[in-house]
Amino acid sequence: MIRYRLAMVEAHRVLGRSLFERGPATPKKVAVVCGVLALLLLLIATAALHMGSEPVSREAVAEVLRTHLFGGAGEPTVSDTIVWRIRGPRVLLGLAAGAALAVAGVLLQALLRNPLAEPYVLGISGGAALGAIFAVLGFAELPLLRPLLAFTGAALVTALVYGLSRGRTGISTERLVLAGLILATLLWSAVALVLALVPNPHLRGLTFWMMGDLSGGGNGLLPLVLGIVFGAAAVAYAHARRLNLLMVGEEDARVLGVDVERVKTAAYLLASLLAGTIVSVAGAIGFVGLLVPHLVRMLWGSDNRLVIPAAALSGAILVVLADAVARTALAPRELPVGAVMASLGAPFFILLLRRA
Amino acid sequence: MLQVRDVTFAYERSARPVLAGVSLVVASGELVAVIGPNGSGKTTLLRLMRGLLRPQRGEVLWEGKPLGHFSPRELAQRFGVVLQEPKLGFPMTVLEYVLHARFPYSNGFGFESERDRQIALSALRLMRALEFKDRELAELSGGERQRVVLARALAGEPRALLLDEPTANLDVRFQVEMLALIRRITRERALSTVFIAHELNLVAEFADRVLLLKDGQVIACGPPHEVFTEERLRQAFEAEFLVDRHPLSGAPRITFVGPIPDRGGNPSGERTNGAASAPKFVLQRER
Repeated sequence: MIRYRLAMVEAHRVLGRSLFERGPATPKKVAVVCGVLALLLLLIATAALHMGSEPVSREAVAEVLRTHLFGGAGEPTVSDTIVWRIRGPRVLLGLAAGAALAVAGVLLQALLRNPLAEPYVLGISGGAALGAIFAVLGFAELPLLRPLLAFTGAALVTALVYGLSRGRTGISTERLVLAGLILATLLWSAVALVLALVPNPHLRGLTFWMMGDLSGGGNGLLPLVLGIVFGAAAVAYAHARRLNLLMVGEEDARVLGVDVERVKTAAYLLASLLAGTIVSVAGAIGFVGLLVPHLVRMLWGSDNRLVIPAAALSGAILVVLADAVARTALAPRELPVGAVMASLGAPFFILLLRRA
Repeated sequence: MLQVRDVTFAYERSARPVLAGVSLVVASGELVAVIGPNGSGKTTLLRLMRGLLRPQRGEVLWEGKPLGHFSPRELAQRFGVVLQEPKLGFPMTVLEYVLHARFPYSNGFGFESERDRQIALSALRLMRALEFKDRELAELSGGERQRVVLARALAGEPRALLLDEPTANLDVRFQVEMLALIRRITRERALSTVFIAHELNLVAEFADRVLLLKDGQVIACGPPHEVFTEERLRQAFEAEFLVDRHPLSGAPRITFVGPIPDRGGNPSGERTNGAASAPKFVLQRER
């Protein structure tokens, strides 16, 4: 009994220290923080399965999951269709979108050494959207081209923003935010223009997609999207220590033996890939990459060995939660999840800008 | 031993060279100061010595081998560099920052070992910065940050130290303490140390040798009592100085007298007949 008590006290101490301490990441701290976040994500994702315009009881959700995950004979029921065919993919897509956008934010922030960098704010999502629309217009029969062209659009805009915001003394916040704002406005106008002018049956319904929409559940691309997000996040994690040094300064990183150009290229490509992929299937969900990394750093410091996995998990939690709100707030009508995120994120962005 | 051999460097091909024909040898255990007016090429020289810039002519050698012979990781292990104050947009604790110096000893992944941690802590202890190891870098005062930055350079267990104004932002007592500490570490660990400074009297007191630069050229290089002469200082800084001996240490003591007035364009209206009769005491009280 006493031994049990001591173990509990010790566990409490480790948990408390890891959960509420900044500073260099340690394996223990990463394990504790990510473990707690993963548990939370699991709870919220399961809860999201039974929330919606058509309520499905917890027991029914559990039954559907048990049937599909562990095998078992069962007649296809209505709850089965709702939970496994409609809500499941949607929750998974939200999870992927949140994780991807949060990690893309972390990468862009390290690359530009600016906590305000984020795919939506910098117009990168706009570039990806335009790329995705071209794919739909020109090659509707090749769904794989959609994420590919979205990635190309995202990469082009990232390069453009980087070039535009870089002055002789490095990258200034003002130039960065202005360049992003202008590009975002321009690109989203182009998207709206194409949607309004081109009478293409494939484009119908894309207005909703433009504002961030998870209802498609990936349109058959879900396994690919999950694979890309997981892979890109893993590669990003492999660069975590180098990104830590890059965040202090390019010359500083070089002095410590970092191949700065390689790390910058990796961060740039991975961020574009993550943002492009998500936009192509879920439209523009803004501010995740801004809110999440900031909160994670505020709680646990800036060490990317912790920030990257913690931001991925927290981003997933946030978007799954936001989508649950979008589905239920005005049920049976649905709101675009991007609008829900923007109403959360925009005030936060203003707050950050005032502090920068 | 760090050797700079007849180095010439320009940022752009056509531009006037920032450094022209500069040579310098820094032995182990030696503390060399680089001084000169703003824009004389001091920081550029430091960057060249670390291999961050490549000279158009001449070469930089470490232990007799050109810097190009070493991998980026090897150079990072051998050189402790303080270039400028870090500008951080992200929260970061002091210990986290100092631990960055252990990166060249890692395989690029994973976490710092207990040994890395001990080395970082002892570097902080040496700089008397241990008590703020858990504080945010952004919350430190200028002087505290300067000590942390130097602690990070030392935490890399370097063989050479290249320091750009390690005494900037420090009050006079900390300036003396900082230089005394740098000199002690240079001797104890047999480092080749080069630092840039503007406080001529401190340089005269602490440096083994002094390199005096002007417009990218070496005006003088040698022990303080050879470099700090009224003639050479006037040439470098275009100002009048008095040089005598410090009554306690015997090192050269430099007193700033005043800028050399422009010929013909003297603001006070006094006529001067060239440098020979330049007024010795411009700093006297205004009438």
